[in-house]
Amino acid sequence: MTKVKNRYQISFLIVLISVVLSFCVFIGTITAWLMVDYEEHSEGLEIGTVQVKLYNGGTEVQGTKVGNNGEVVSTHATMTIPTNSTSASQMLISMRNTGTIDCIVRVQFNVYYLENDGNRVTVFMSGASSIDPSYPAISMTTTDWVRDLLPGVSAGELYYNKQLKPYYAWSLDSNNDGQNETSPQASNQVAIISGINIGSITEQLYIDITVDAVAFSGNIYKKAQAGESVPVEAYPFGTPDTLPEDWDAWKAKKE
Amino acid sequence: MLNNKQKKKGRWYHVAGILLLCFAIIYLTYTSTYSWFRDKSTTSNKPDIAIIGTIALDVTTNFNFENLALAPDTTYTGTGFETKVKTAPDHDINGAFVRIKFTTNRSEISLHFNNQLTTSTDVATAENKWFYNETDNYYYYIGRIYDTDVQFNDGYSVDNTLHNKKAGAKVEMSFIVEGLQWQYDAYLAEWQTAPAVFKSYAQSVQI
Repeated sequence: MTKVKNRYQISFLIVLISVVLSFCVFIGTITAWLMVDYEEHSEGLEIGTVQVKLYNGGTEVQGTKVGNNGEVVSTHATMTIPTNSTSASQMLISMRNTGTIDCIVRVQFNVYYLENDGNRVTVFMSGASSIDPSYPAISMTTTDWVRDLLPGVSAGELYYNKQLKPYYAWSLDSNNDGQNETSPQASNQVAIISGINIGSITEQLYIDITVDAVAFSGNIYKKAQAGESVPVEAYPFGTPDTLPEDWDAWKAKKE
Repeated sequence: MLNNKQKKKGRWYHVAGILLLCFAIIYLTYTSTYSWFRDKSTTSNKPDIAIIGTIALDVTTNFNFENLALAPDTTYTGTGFETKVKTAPDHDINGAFVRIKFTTNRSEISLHFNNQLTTSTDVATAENKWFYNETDNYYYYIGRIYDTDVQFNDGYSVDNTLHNKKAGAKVEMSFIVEGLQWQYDAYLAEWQTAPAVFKSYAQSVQI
């Protein structure tokens, strides 16, 4: 009988302690300050990239060499010019910015043939006033490019007079909710040379192309124009006084 | 005199009762012990008075960078980049204090403010603006948030040290937004590292 009574007392004690503790916890709950925390995170962001790929016709040029010195990303390739390239649209060399941010672009090129001893001979560019028009020469069609060629020959630099936008770009969806489409949209390739006419030249011609690209945002030419002191070696395409006056893609953004 | 059947029945009731109470204790302890101990650390001179209700915020953040990529030396502002905060529909107490912490893994990125930020330590000048507190890296809103959007940053700035060697690196940004009841000196207990200008403001609106 006493054993049973003790067991009931222990049970009663446990119940009592439990009730007291529960009450304390309940009071603690309702007297806490009202607080709330939220965390919001960005997703999928990265530091923008500049990368240019070359295309011959509709095909990506293989074996290009890519350099990146931290400011300039260079893509270099050598291509064979078809021997039947005697009409203006025979050879189309184009580029894509496969990176993610806008860039400014310069192309260094040289059209040449190889002598038997392996030396390069740069061919003439038609229309040069210093060259006898009877000499074999090539002609090139370029649109939206500012030419800065060596006198009379098919070598020099081309400056793309627009910002080169990423080939694949995200755009806002049509729901007007500020969100992007579910996948990026492809834009057009940009022609560098939209046609080469080799005229009466019979040798096998080659074209060396190096595309130098620099992020448009924060480009050093803008900073120089804004009056910032810029060391001479910092100019990716040379000092402003050496650039063609017509080239202004480095200035304010334009579509 | 209890017979064996009654004893057995009574034992089961007790076991069930104890199990239920244990469950209640564990549940309540789990959900409220943190608040309980936190509340005990209050430094308020006033007696603690409980407000029963819900505090809830509606936080809007935007990271709509073109191509999800950041370009150097660029300021991104406006729709798509701003952060706003207001009380949510289920917030059922009078207003709230808010503070925000911004963190990123890139030193080249910072918040951009239009005129929402103040460095003034004068309450009248600083009121309804955000004050950055170096002590705890929080931005404190010198005011109370209600059901109308209050703008925090209007965008982001990326400096010119970002270059192609860093291209493609992952960028992480996050906001921690904290809301607190403004009544009964709760800020003294919970936001002890708050700047003096916030404390002065908070003190001035206490009931």
